[in-house]
Amino acid sequence: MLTKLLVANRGEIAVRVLRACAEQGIESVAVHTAPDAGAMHVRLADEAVPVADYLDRDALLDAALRFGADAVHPGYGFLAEDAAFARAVGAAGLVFVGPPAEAVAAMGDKVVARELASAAGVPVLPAVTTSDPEAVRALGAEHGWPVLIKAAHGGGGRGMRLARGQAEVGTALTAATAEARSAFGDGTVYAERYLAGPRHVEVQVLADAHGTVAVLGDRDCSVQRRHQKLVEEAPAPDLADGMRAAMAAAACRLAGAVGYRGAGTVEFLVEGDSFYFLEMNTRIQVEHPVTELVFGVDLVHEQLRIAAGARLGPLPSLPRGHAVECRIVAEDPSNGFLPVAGQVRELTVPWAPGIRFDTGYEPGDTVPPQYDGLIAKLVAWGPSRSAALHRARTALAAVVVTGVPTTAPAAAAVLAHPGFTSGPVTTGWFEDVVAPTLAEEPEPAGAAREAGGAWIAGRFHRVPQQPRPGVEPGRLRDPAPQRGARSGPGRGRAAPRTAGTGDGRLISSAMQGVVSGIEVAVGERVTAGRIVARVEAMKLENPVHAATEGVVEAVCVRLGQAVAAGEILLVLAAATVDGTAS
Amino acid sequence: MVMTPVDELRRRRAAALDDARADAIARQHALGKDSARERITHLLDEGTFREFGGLVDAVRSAPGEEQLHAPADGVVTGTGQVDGRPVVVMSFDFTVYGGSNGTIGGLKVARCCERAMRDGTPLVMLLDGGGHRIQEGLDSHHFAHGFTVFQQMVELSGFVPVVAAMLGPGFAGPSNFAALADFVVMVRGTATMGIAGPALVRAATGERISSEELGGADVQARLGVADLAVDTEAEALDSLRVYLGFLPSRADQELPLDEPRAPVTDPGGVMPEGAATAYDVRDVVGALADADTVFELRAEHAPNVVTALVRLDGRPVGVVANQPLHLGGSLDSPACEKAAHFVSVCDAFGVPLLFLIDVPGFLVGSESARTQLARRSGRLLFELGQATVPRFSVVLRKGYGAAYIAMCGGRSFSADLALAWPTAEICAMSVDGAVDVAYRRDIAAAPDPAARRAELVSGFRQRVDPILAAQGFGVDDVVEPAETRSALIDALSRAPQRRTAAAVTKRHGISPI
Repeated sequence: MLTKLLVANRGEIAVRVLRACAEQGIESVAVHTAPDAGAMHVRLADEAVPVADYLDRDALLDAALRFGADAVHPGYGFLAEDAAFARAVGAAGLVFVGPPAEAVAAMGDKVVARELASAAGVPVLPAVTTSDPEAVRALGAEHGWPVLIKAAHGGGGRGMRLARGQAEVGTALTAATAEARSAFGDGTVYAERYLAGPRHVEVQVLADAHGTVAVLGDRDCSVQRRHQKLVEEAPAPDLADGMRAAMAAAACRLAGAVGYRGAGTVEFLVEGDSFYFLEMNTRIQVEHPVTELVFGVDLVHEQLRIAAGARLGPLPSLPRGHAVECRIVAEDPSNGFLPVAGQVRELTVPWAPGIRFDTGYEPGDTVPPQYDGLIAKLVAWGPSRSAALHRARTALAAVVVTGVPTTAPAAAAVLAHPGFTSGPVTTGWFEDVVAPTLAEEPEPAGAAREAGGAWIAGRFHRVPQQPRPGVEPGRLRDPAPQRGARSGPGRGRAAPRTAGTGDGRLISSAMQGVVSGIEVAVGERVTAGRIVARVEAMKLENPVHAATEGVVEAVCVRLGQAVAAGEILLVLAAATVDGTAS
Repeated sequence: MVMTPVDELRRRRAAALDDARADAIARQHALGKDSARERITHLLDEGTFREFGGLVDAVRSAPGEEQLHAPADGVVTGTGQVDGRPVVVMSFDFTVYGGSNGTIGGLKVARCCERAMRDGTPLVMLLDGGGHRIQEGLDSHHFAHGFTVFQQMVELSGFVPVVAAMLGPGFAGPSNFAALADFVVMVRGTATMGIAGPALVRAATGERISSEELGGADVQARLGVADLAVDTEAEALDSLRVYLGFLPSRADQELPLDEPRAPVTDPGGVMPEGAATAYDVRDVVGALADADTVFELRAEHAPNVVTALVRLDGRPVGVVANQPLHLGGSLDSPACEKAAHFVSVCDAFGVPLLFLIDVPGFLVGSESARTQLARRSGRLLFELGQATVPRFSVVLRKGYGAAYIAMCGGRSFSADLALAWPTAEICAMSVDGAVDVAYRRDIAAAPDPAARRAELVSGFRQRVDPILAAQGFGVDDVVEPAETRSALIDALSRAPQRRTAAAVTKRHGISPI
């Protein structure tokens, strides 16, 4: 039995784990960085420790030891799939709530994971694990183009390049290698057949320390934007019984082969009658609640029990009903999903049958710009898929989040779309079909007809109509239809609010001041709008934002350094977004 | 068939239209631009355009000019209406010798200015290429005359709205026109502005630079040369409509009113709890103004001060607001210039001013010295001091030092209503800074300097309080954010459009800049 657990994470997953601890009578220690000082997970924990960074292994371990914790839960993201951290936790005599470090390491290396999967009889995409251009060309020639080149140690779309034919192989290899080296410190790449329109289906596994591996069904997470899942559901709809069983068996074999322990997810790409191993996530997933709702199993409780050495008990073999999850993230869907930090002013959920709401925020809390903006997960269960979707739609329409824009409208658009309600969609569907419809802001109802106006830079402006002198009122032309038709292209473009200047790659200080914060490290990927540094002047801290997305190539200043207006603070390199989901 | 005089007139008129010039218009479209006449059609109310000078052609007086053919001499001119308001419009035709001004074309431009002056209607300039037509300009016989239009434009300035849409190459001549406009919009990718284009720059100084880098829309919007940069011509032309919609057709007319519309947000939650936390003052503007009426000018330039035309209860108001998201909302040279220009425009056309104050002071440092902040800040005081429109102020948070005065704080410029929010801190400078400077010796001499400093700071903190500001009657009242809009609307409804000037007899004051 665990007695005291340190949660090395923040946001909703930290809250989820802390609550599970409370339910099991395990004392809890939260960690938090400066921007998270008053965060919900800090308020919920029995004790809280400030750390400089959620990625600081030594500080986390030190906190766990100092506060007498006997276990560490990594959550997802941050250090959840860091084999060195898992190893260090074990070496310090603490329990890592997750698989053995060897399993983390094996699944973290895509080439090794592929080989292990293949050896365990799990179907993998035709591939070559070499950066020899000839071998890559031969792969394309035999199995068809395009071929996807991926970083062996990558994820999230970094270090990925698509070669659409023989001619593109050379440049794609060079680019992927360089990017993999700068992003992950290892330029190893491999090439595999690229699927044009796959579904993303994943299998939940649970394994105890005594060799028992169980499968808790599957989830469909094909609704994605740039490899970020938006809406997930369990079970995966419209999957042939044979394939579903084969995927479950394959996931079970792979977990057994790597000596897995705890909760994990084996991800597959499905196209036609075939499925292929994508990767294994050696942690709890964001979307675990949909599985919990249809199986009646608490996965976080199971993680804690397994970590304490317990054997898996009897588990249901079939799902009951259907569950769907919508991620509510602080991003602006009408503005290219630009991440927006800020204070959550209102956060209300309609309490209705079958609704679950996992969040790490309460009204008044601030979504800091430094971290992933997941505010909450709205999960709906229903006896059938259509019932679950109906409940989710109804609930989502009544969810109120103010203070920051959220992806709720994007999720609502997905749930309402006939392409989604009528059946499974592919991983490119959201970006191809739904995303373009979100960029246009709806015109305020009736405004254009009422008194005229104009759309400029994505915003509606009223223009009053002057009475025309010398024209009888009866002859006044109604300008409405023409004005309506005038609202032209180019809407939705909003200037990024940035203190940085230049072409976006060179981030400079807009003002004279002192560098009071450097928020990123070399090799780190940043999204457009992300705060990368802070410059203090006139006793106020001024965040410096990245104007474009990219990978940090160089940090040119030190903390405390005085900088002049226009002085370069950081240099970004372009980031690629090609590739399949992870 | 015999050609009647009417037939001949029709033929001549038709020859200048787009249909008769399909190849030239196709080339213009290929550049991603509409034709000079298509732009007029988009901008003006249907059926209101009356052209003058449509039959003009090039002057063919010099040797070699016999073949010069210039429909309308490169600029389409006339009168029409925009949203029911009469205007004079000139639309330069890039397909005619790159929009250059021939001698007669110059006369047409002068005629537009004359009409705007006599009729008292706004002057709309749609600029695309131009400058003096070299074929005619390399001739002292013509050029020694100079050009009277700038004198006319200066006379128009502040009398009628003068607006310019930069829709194509705009180096030299068009930029000179636009410089005298009170609103300038540019289209990204096609429009440029500047004194000279890349070729001349390279010839004169050896510097190699692209026209987009030298004077593209984003560059000029950041520099404050353009008031707005947009993606499309349609947005550029529509922005002229939006701008004109806030102003009277000439300075002595009433402001155009609109139906009042409640704001969609309320200002209550905007102000963060921590005094050191920044917020977006545009959220305050949006929560005070009528829905869909906030038109921000020079948003990309000096973002530490927000200038926007808005409506309050249907009445136009010019908002000047410190923006804590940039430089803490402090006033630097570009911000002073931006605010001063905006105050000048609003005052010229009788638009009341609303100051939303959260200013930590003027920005200090060598950059401020280099950019002449001492004088730039003086110009803001100057414009405010000579303004005769109603003005209102609300201190949202910081109202520090001379910058508080330059933002029309308290009684400085006899605001018609001076308010403060409960979060206001009005004083000469930040308490911490003041203590460190003024009590340096006192603190150093104390047995426990840190304790002495803390004691001084907390002592002065108690003196910085909006209630004390109201007790001293520096402000008329302290109001809750949610009460602010109705208080402003009430004051706005009572204030006359102009204060009667009681100034001594003089020609004009002397601007510090």
